[in-house]
Amino acid sequence: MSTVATPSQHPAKSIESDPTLSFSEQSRAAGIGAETINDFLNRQPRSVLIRLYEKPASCLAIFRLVPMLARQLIMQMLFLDGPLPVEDVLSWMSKEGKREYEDCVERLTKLSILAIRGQGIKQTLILNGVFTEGMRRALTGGGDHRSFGVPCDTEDKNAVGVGFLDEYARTKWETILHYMVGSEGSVVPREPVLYLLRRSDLMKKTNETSGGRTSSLGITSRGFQFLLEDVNTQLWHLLLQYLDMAEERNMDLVEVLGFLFMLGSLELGRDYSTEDLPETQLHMLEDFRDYGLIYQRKASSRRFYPTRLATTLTSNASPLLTTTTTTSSSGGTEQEEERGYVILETNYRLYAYTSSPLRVAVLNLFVSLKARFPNLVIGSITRESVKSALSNGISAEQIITYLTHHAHPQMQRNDPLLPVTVSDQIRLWEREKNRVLQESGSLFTEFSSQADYQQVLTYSQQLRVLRWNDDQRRMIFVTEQGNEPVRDFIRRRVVQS
Amino acid sequence: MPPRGADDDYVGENEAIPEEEEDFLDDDDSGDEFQNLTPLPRLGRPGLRAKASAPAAQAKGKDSTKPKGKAKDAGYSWEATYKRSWDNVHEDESGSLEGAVRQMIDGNKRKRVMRDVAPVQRGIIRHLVLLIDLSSSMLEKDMRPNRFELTLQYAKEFVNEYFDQNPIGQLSIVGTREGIAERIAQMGGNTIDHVSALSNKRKLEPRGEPSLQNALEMARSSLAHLPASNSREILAIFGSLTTCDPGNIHDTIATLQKDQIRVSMVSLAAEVKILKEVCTKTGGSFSVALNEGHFRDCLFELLPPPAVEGPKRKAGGQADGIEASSVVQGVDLLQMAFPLRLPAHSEPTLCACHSKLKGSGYLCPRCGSKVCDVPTDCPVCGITIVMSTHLARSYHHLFPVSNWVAVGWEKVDEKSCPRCFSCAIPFPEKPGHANAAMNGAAAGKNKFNGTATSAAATSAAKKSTGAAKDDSGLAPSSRYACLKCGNHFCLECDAFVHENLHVCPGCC
Amino acid sequence: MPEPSKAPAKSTDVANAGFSHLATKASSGQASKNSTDFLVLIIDVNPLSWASNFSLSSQASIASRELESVLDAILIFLNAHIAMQHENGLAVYAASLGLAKLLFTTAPFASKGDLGGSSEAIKSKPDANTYQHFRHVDNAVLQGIRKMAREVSEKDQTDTASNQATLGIVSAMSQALCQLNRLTMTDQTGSEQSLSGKTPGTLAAKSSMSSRILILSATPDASTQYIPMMNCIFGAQKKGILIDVCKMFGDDTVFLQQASHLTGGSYFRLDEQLGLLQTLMSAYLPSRSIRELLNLPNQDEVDFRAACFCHRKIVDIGYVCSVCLSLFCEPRPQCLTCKSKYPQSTLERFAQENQNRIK
Repeated sequence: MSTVATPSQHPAKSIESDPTLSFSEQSRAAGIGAETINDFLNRQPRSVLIRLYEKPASCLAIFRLVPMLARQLIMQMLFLDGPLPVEDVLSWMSKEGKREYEDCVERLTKLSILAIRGQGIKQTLILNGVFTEGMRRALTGGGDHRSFGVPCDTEDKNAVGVGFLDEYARTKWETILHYMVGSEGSVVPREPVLYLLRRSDLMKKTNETSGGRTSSLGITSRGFQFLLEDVNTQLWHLLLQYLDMAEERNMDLVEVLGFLFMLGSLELGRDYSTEDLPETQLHMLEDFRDYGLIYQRKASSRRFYPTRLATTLTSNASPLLTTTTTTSSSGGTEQEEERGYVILETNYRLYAYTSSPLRVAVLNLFVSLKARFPNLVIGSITRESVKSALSNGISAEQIITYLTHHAHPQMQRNDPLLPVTVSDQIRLWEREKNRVLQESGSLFTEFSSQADYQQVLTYSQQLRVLRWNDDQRRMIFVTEQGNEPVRDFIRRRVVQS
Repeated sequence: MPPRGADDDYVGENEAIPEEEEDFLDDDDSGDEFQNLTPLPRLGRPGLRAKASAPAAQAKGKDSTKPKGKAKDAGYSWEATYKRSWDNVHEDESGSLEGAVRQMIDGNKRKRVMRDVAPVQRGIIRHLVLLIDLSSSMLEKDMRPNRFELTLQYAKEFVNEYFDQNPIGQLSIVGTREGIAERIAQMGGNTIDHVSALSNKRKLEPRGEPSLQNALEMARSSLAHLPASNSREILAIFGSLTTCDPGNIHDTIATLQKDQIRVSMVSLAAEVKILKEVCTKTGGSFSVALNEGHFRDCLFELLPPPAVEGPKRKAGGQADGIEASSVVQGVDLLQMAFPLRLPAHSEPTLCACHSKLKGSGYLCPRCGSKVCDVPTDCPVCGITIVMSTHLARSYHHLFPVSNWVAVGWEKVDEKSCPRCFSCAIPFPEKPGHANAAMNGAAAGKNKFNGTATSAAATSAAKKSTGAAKDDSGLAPSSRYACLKCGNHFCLECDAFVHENLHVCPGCC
Repeated sequence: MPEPSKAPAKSTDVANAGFSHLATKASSGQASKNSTDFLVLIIDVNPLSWASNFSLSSQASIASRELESVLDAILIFLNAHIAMQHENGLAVYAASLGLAKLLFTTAPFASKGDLGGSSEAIKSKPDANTYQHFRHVDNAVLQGIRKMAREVSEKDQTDTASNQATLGIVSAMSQALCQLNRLTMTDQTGSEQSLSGKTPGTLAAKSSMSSRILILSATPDASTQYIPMMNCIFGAQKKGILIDVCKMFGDDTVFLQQASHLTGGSYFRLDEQLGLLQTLMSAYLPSRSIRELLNLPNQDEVDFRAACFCHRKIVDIGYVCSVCLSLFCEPRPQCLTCKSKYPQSTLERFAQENQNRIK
């Protein structure tokens, strides 16, 4: 029976569960998405965070990013006047909650929201003053921070409705994705977007000899992984790259982040004025028009409309609505269609109730499509299709996550969601790729006597360069670094004897 | 033999011979016996939607086929025309079936809700014996996977629901096979015991012949000694057509009548005369299960406490019409104790029922002993220990919510609330044209009587021409009004209130 | 065949391939931690109890018990609930004498037509200083309560005293349960729910929206409401909905205590010194998903004894009519509610026992 070699990658771990890894290692380990906004915020120095907390909108947005127990803790301490003794808080937690509590406290201290004073028994927790002020202001309303978006005073002559905004956002966003997938006839996005794609390693320059496009880009394996994520993650991915670039372009990070969080709190369908926005934020307005986050009639227009992509930045609601709906009796049907459209059966067959060419292109990455109807696409997951996806750099975990995310609501009745056979099989196909682990080194054979063989064996074991040996046939395999010392050792022995 | 020419040679080009003349040798159809038969009755859809009276009606229908003289008129069921269930579903203009499907679902809901809600005296404290046939006929596969497995599954659900609706009732389970009766579970009030006894399939292997008399005698023995105030019932699930009795079953029937034990039966095979006689003589109900869904419905008919019959055997005697002279059956004053609940962190002491050292429990107020679970009889002093919540659970049987009336369009005007009173969902707008075709008695005609047969075959296409309601009982305005408080509710709230909540939000 | 001498394949890797359902369970456990919470808040605005409390507590320190200041605290609490998660749902009922009104709901199906005048609020410009979700809720609740207070005061002038006995809390609870029923129903996708098929536990577990009801009570119990209240409680129990009660002032209400105990919620009586807002934030804000991590206040001794129908005193051992289940403290020849006569033998038996006991 052949033993299965350990795969060269670690199995996917959720990012939250292992905070000790650095963000790049985390992203590589997870294979699903690069660093999140959480990690980004963790990296910021305290001064930046304090300045960020001056705006209630940012406080609210960051509040929604921390885990649930931490939110509860903040709320409890928000309206207290003094520090809270730790033992009081611990008595509030039950046994199971204590561990979570430790995690939350750590998280909050990293974000400079919480501070622990004192030692030992007398430890107290205290909330950051600026954060407290901002959060209280957010809950009660009022003040003059104007951080929730200044609405326009005058009526818009060309007012747009929510449907138009959704359509606009969808078109813009899918342009980018279509370009990445490389579907024919896709519009090339503007140069800043291309720059961003290149910089985030989602696409790279290829040497196209045919055609005349000098700045053509080809998709990378990271790009393939990007395609399989849900829209929220994708959006944040791009925005984080934008934030990284912001530092280079001398834009004030606090203002950029503040503007992002403010976008998250705007109301859909309402126009907001661009007056009084600092230079940085006006700049950002322009850039965000390309992503479909906001809509402005002209670049110099004094008002802008946030689209659904913007208003769902800090929530888990689905940011894109498809336009093909059967019954528009309530918003519920539309949302359902957006959330899930894939049905996976235990015989590896896949039914996708969608007609969007983007989704079909994404499915084509790892499913071999068999039939296509006006509202349905049928395919099956085969060894070849999964192998081709794996060779493009997509991991099995991502495929499974994608299928889980986009599962049809009817699949929710299954427990587990995807058939176990299919998900296991996809993972096994991935393991097939990693069946053999290669390592180069040198093989020593034909020892004249057992004693010689034994000596070299012990020597290589001491040096810890031994990889494999066989006592019957007297063969020793050592690593590359071990090649030299072992060879010298043998030569010395030969010289001696 | 002349060579066969082309077919065209046989048929003249200009002679259009109608097909009928070619096909038949006769000129008329007098010799055709099949066509001369009267058309067979079109059996509706009795399976999914019949109510309690429907199986009785069905049973009557089957009775009438037995006399030979009527064979031609009624027809055997296997001669009926093939039921085409897809005829019931019609597409609407856009070709979508959603409207028709929704109609059916809503119609189902409405039918479930309508039931007899006149306040009657009911036997609240019930002792029920569940009798299960474990003979070899239960291995028939006409119900999936076989009758036995299905019976066990439904019996488990029945046990759970029974204790849910009758928290102070007790249940015992008896099985019969190989000519004898066996006790599967003792009379008790603990759900877990019964469900675990039913889950033990190895012990309940069906074999042999059932014995109706032995089973009834065994059930009777555990019921006879109970006081008259308790309602004594036997529910039997019988799958066999025969029974193997040691004595005269009519004697047993007489004793059951004397002891005022009510026997109800659900037969899985067919109607057997003796089974029906047992049920009618003792005052129970008899039904034959047509398929799995119907089986379940018949079984669950017996969950609510039965109405106690007055001395003249009239169904539903009024609660306050008792003559002073005679003592009415089942009326009694019972002594009950309400315990004190000990939380889990109190001092551990031994409990009186299992002798386990526990902290939590309930203290009997009369003798002070600790019991683990209520409701129960105190093992030391014998008084019934219940919590007030258990009594409260049965109140909705005695004071049920009156049925809500479907509102026709003529009652809807600007003053009526545009949304459902309880769940705030908006009602559909009144259509512009006033419909003069509505009969004024539409609001009054409803399904209270419960004798209408299912009209699902015709109700699928919703007629928007102005009938006040369809036959399925749905209101075209989607409003249902409570007669006491006058508020309008939606169909979902109707189903929820009448099945689960038992409280009208407007009346309280 | 040469065997590699490095460490044998980790058994977990091999096992992981086959037991992938465990991994999905863990991830679904992660997901369920952030399941959305639907909170139904029922505010008792019975003007009688508020007025009596205000006149009783004349010290300045208890000025916080005025309705206005309490409303401020409640509004901040509601805002905090929405802030916790974007998808949290909220519905607010106000219960007064004999009626209960829905002030605000985020349920997707509800029509927002004439709810508390919020239609005007939507049309007006949003405030740059307030998060617009908060603003909607605050406006709707404030206007709704004001409107309700006006209506009740008008009605009171024309009404007799008989109406004062009926509380609106039960009506509010039943309306809330209907709305939650519809909410969980629309959450289930597609298929027709056969009510007899599934046990309520699975229904509650599978819907992603976990719901609870919070009652801010100020009024003592009404004995006529016993049966409807218990029916509501059983309905909530079946659906897996928690009922929390915060008693702001007044005597303890046994019915609400039983409600919170039977459904698994928490009952808390607000003392004079405690601040309402802090209590609400600490004890009633946590959603279902983190409730098991916290120790919430709870009532230990819950009085499950019933009150007799004749004198309304609590009894340990009572006599129950088998027809109508009404409870009496001592044996009587005829039932009060259903007028059914009891057999002489039973009455004699009880008289005998009582004599024995007295001896």
